[in-house]
Amino acid sequence: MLRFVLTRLFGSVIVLWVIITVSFFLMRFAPGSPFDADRRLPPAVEANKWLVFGMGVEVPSPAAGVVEGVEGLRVGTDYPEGAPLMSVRGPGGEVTPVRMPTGGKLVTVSVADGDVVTAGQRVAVVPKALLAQYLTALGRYATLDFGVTISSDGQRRVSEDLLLGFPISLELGLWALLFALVFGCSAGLYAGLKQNTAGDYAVMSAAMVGISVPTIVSGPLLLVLFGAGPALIAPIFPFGGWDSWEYKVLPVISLGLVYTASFARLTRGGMLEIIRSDYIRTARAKGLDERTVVTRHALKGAILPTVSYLGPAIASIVTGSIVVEKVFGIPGLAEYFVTPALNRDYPMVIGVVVLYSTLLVLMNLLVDIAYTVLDPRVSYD
Amino acid sequence: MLSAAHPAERRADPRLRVAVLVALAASLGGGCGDAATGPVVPLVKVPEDQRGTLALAALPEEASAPGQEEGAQREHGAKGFVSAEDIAGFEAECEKLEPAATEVAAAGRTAGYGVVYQGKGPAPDRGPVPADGTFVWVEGNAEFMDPNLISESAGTAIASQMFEPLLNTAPGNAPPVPGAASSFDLSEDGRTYTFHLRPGLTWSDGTPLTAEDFRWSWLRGLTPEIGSKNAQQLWYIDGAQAFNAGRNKDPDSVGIRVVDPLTLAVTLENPTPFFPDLVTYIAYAPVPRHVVEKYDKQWVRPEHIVVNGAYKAVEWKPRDRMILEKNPRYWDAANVAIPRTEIIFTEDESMNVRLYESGKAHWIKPLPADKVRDWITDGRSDLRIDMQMCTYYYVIRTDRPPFDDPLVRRAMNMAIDKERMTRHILAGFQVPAPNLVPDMFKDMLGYVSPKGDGFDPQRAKELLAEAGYPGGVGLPKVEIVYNTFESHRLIAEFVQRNLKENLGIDVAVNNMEWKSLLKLVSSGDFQIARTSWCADYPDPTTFLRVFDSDSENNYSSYKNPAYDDLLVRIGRETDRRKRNVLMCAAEMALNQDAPITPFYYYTRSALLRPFVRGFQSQYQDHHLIKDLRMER
Repeated sequence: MLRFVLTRLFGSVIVLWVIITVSFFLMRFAPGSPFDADRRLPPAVEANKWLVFGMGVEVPSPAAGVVEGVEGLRVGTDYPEGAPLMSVRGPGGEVTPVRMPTGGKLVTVSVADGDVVTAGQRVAVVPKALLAQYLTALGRYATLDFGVTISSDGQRRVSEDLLLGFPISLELGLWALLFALVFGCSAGLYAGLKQNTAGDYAVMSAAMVGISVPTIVSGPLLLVLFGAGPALIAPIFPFGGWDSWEYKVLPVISLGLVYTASFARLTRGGMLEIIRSDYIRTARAKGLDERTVVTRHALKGAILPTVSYLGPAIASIVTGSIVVEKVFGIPGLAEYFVTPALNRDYPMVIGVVVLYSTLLVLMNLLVDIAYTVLDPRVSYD
Repeated sequence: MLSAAHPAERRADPRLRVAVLVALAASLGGGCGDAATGPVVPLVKVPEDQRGTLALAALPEEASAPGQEEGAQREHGAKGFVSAEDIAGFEAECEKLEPAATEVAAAGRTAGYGVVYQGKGPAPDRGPVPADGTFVWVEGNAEFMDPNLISESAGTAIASQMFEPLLNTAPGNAPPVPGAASSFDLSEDGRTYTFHLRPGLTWSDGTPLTAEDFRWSWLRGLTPEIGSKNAQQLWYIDGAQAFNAGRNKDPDSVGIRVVDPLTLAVTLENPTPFFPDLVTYIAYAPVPRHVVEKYDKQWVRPEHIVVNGAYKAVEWKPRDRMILEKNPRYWDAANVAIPRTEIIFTEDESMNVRLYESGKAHWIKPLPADKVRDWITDGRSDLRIDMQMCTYYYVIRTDRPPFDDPLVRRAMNMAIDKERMTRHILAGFQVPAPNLVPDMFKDMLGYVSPKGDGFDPQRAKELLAEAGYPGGVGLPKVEIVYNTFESHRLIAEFVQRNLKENLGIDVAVNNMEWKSLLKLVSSGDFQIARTSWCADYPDPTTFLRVFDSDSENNYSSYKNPAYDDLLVRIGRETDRRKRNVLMCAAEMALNQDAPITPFYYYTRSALLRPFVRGFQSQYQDHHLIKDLRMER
């Protein structure tokens, strides 16, 4: 068992590394940079930004003199390594070319033709080589340092922002999961034991409705019916926060509803299969009463499908909370899903990706372990 | 202004969802909306020759579209931009447009101006004034609070409550009022402002606040190491740009001089009549050196923050809420009526409405367009729509066929029915734009924009034929790109239909994600792209300078030396009337050369609880909570 866990943990690290690498390069290849805005930053300021965030390097002037040949340069275009950018004419008339230190996009040129520069003065800023950026970044990620967010201009750390939102999203997810498990499994067991009765049909019809109504419908509906303000039925529950239990009721129900329905169907199916199996017949033959048969023997097997669904369910509950968080104005992680990617906030994107992939990998591992506990036939050794 | 101007563009463009009911002309003249709350006492000393700068002009109805006679247009050879001689002609025409000097001198900038709509009907009852006096409003998520770094509207809106510059924005688009400075003098050459600080100012921790704090803060904003996106707002100061670019490391080379602890002298690069307006911006606010140096980037956190304004942060949960409380050490604390204010961070318009309708929030914006439409129909009186200094336009690459010919660009402009666009596509709320500069400077500066080409499909066809493409035959492929957003799409498709119907041109419209569009636009690899411009400061030059050959934001490749020269002359001109004439000529040049097709001017709508008093229209939607009060 330990060996299995260790192997899986090692595999998880590899998976995470692949995910980080792919996200890193995908983000970098997406058009635009974090510092593009509808009104372009002045070259000097944009250059400062690239340098402050460790994504750019300065091109120093090789000599003192007057700058020439800037006119034809196209900022924003790619230049190969060693390409001549401009030249500096020294006091004695000698001309020294300024070359690209690495290949890549010319971010900014901070001088104009005719400017007088000293040796070593910055004349342009170009991005750091991608591989060098990647390697330093990877080194920092290994120590769980995800850097500062670009959208806050370096004022806030990625980990700090994620740690503010994550507990809220997690709490919402866990409550919703608990809600779904309690109501889903009970309903499923009931329906399974009372197969083809009116009760079974009622529960399963309700489950069908539950599955078909997404949170984007159930959320606003619950708000309209029970939200504070002009509610149709009873203005009981406030929204726009996560301060007390009143704020949590509607979001948890809304998010849990879909999974309650799925769990009910799965548990019912599991129960139907198990209740006809040989070992249950044996248990009954031993003369156990029906109650003991169900609780001691059938139950474990009946919820196995539910357990195997738990991994993906947790994943989609936590990620699916985006809609619910938006609808109810919950300050969780929802905001970080899309906005940082659109803004090309590279550090934040990596932070979010790592957080979620770690969560998913861990959940899958836990589900596998739970299997061995619940089903004696499954063994990893 | 880099900041407040374009908060939302990162996501999309919520201002688009904003609305105007009444045509601008009607609203500016008439008293719809709460008028002036009182005269603004001019506490600043302005030399005689500058007095006219902030003045009101009554615009005669007929003085609208000179210089656009048919004959005049053909003289400009195809494929060329207007020449210096043309511009001299424009100046002569603009002279006629100018209101008489006596009219202009008669009035200052009017308060209460810029309200486009205010309902007269009932407002639904959403509860009484909160017992603890907390004023609750919403903002987009504010990422940071450091005045030297802020470049988004949410941060600006909140930090402005906490940090007070030398002058303050006045409600109602009135001229700036004294803030940390009680008055200022302007030198004869219009380049040196001397600010006199109020005696006895302190930070919220009791540390004295002096002129040196301002100097240190402004220089900090300019330091290349902090890489501030806001720094550009300080570039008007002599030597500031070179210092910011790292070309000059000597802080004494920047024209900020501490004369004595209560006097700050600022020398500008050029005479800048709108400098008092600039000084009200957050980039000009002071930061507490003793706290910044102690806590570095952490200094704006509520546990460390020290402010000089009316409010101080006591709680800040990013993406959730922020709570500010009155700063008892603020110099004017006795007149701050609202003791506590809560800002709810949300980026969701329907959430805004829910918060308002449930009684939780007292002031919300932006609003969903479809709701605004209904509320206008109901005449709801807690709805207000204000004018903003922003223009929505298509920028055209002037070096790509077929748009390398000004006739084609103008034909396109004339073929689009902007009136119909704003009425039906945008539900009739925005103000159609016949030219680049929003119609906001008549009352402020006495400046009257020359109207550009109007909707004239017949003339458009003629121009197109004249350019060698009769009926659109032989025209190269045309493509419009815009960033993915519902109303941008509606507009693009409307333009597409108009060009097909009126000119017989088939146009492709393509949307792309925001940053991708930015990259495309700045690389210049497009024909027509959607964009917009918002005023950095209340002066037409903020719009006109976009089309300078060297402007970073001139995506149209419009390079006209005659136009650039004109901009230089505007920069040097200190006579208000003369300056208006030159600006008018510049706009005529743009109307003629048509590097853009302007569509409409932005407005901003908000819901405000009726018990809130003192709220007035502001061209940047910049409001100070200290000026508000809640009446039971």
